[in-house]
Amino acid sequence: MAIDPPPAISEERSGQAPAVLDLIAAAFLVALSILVMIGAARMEVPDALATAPGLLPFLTAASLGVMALALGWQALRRRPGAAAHEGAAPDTAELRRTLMLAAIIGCYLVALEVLSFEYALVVGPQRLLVGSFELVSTIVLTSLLAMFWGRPLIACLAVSAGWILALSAAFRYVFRLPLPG
Amino acid sequence: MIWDAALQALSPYLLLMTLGGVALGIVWGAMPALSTTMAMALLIGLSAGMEQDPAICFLLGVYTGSVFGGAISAVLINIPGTPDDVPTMIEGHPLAKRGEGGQALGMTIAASFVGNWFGIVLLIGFIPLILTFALSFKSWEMFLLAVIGISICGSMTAGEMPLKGWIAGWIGMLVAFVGLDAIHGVPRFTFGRLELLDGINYVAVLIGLFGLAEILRVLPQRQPYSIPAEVGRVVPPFRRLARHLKAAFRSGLIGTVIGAIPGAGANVASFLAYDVGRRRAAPEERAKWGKGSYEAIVCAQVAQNANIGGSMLPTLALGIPGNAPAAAFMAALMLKNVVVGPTIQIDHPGLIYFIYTALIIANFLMYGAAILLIKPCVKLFSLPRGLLLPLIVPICVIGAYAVRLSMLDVWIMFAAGVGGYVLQAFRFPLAPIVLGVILAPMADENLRRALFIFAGEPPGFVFTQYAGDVLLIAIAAIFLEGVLRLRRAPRKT
Repeated sequence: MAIDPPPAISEERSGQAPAVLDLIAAAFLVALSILVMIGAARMEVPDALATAPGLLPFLTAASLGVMALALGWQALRRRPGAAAHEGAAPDTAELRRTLMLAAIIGCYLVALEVLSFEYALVVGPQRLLVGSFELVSTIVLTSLLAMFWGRPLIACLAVSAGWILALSAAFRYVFRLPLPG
Repeated sequence: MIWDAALQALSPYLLLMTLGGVALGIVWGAMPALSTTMAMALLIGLSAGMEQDPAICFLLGVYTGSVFGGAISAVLINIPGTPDDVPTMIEGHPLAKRGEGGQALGMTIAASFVGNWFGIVLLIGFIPLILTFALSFKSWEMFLLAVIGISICGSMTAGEMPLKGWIAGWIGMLVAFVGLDAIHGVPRFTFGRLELLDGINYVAVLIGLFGLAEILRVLPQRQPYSIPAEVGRVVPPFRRLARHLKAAFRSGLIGTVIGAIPGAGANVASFLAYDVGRRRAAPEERAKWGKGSYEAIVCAQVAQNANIGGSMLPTLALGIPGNAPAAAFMAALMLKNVVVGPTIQIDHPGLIYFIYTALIIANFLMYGAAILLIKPCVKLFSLPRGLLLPLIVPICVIGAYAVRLSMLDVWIMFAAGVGGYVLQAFRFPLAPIVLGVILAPMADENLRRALFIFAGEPPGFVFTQYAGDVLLIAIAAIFLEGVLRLRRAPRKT
């Protein structure tokens, strides 16, 4: 009996990649699954094997390894370079901008981790807290807006300061939540 | 008793509290990276200062509003508020790009409304029947249900390469194994780091994979896409709604039953209804799935919202929360000295009816508030991407930090974002990773419990569990269909 599967649907950017990318992914996944299997096999077994903490990690990694081999086999069966879907890889300039953006966000997180201070501004009866989150976030957001929005620096500063203050006020005073930094 | 409860819930003060909760929930859910669970967990503190009835109305309003609100960012900026909104994102965002964002959200609201009603009606009418079915799910069936959730999601999101979807789901499972093992307390893959003993939080992974990865992908583009600001008609025509009634009915049933199974959650419900809906759709409608189908939105949203009523069932009747937001609701009730469970009707007569009525009222208010909020939301999210996406970066940081007040979660979010960007470059879907992270602990604990129970039984004993057999057949069907699709894929190239 022939089974006719329903048509394939997908997330916007998933599916078949150029064969070389699938091969790289398969090799990486096989290596990862072997490492996880070794780690799971070395785990302590306090009771019976059926309740061992490493049981499902081992089974998951083993089946992941099998699936990775199937992915690699599929890629090898395809002609090299075939099925390179459009938009599979961004152009170099775009990639450079992505790396820069990731680096800025990484530096932002390092700054939040390292810098930790808080000042209290007394406005009438209210004590308003301004900490490293507000300062670091405003600086980072201003630079991101200047780079990607392309408006004058003063406009970027005004938008980012207003947004960060509104966010921090909502979280600090309405939801009573400490902010990072 | 039910009329007394209805009259009480309809008092102006309680209506105002419900409306406040609904509006706050919608705005919260619409913010990328802020989830329903987080809203419920944080707002318990806010409700602690209220009397019992206003607190219940407020929290149910937040719950109902934020479940819908998550769909707004999913449709308009391709960042789902919760994992349950991923199917809505897959279908709604292409519609928004075509200038049908208002209509897509209108359909989402209508489907949410129908789904909520469905859950409530089934909750009231079929409590004993649904509970009997839900409670026949023991450890083995729960394990299989988790595997079904991950496999369906993988199968549904990877197009002609379901293998990549399953791989993504399995990667998510591996991520979830980091931390202390829940049965013996043995550290797993923590590399001696104390911070990792608590495990990896799925909220941080969700924010990274869908929030940060989208920012990293779209912001550096020379000409990022934008959403047309023109909204057009928001309320969907009745004829269009009527066309999807059958799908709505089926999805509502799936959502309520899955909600009644403790721990299963709306993410399994929405993906299961989405998958079943695709298989049952008429050929001309099926061709639209994945490219912007209103029927697909109906399936996912009805199931997701029917899940609210369903999840209240074990929460109130047994004291076992159906999902994480229901657990937060249970905690809020405990703060008011209300212990939910089999004796709730004896200890607090009428309370259960009050909760049902408050849920119905919250549903009506959600519909009205959502219709009013769609146009401003579309206008807001149609801002240039160069302005909008940088503003989301600090929300991602706060959202990841807020769950456990830990910078480690912020770094996990960052790693998930970069990892998500790389995986997308290799054309892996991201949704199954989140499902894997969420469902792996359930799979792990239940598999080991089931094997412990099965110990000493003959090998064929596993096939004598009838609900489990049905689930095993379902898993086999999912993988068989995926393998068939995979075998077809190379011929296309």
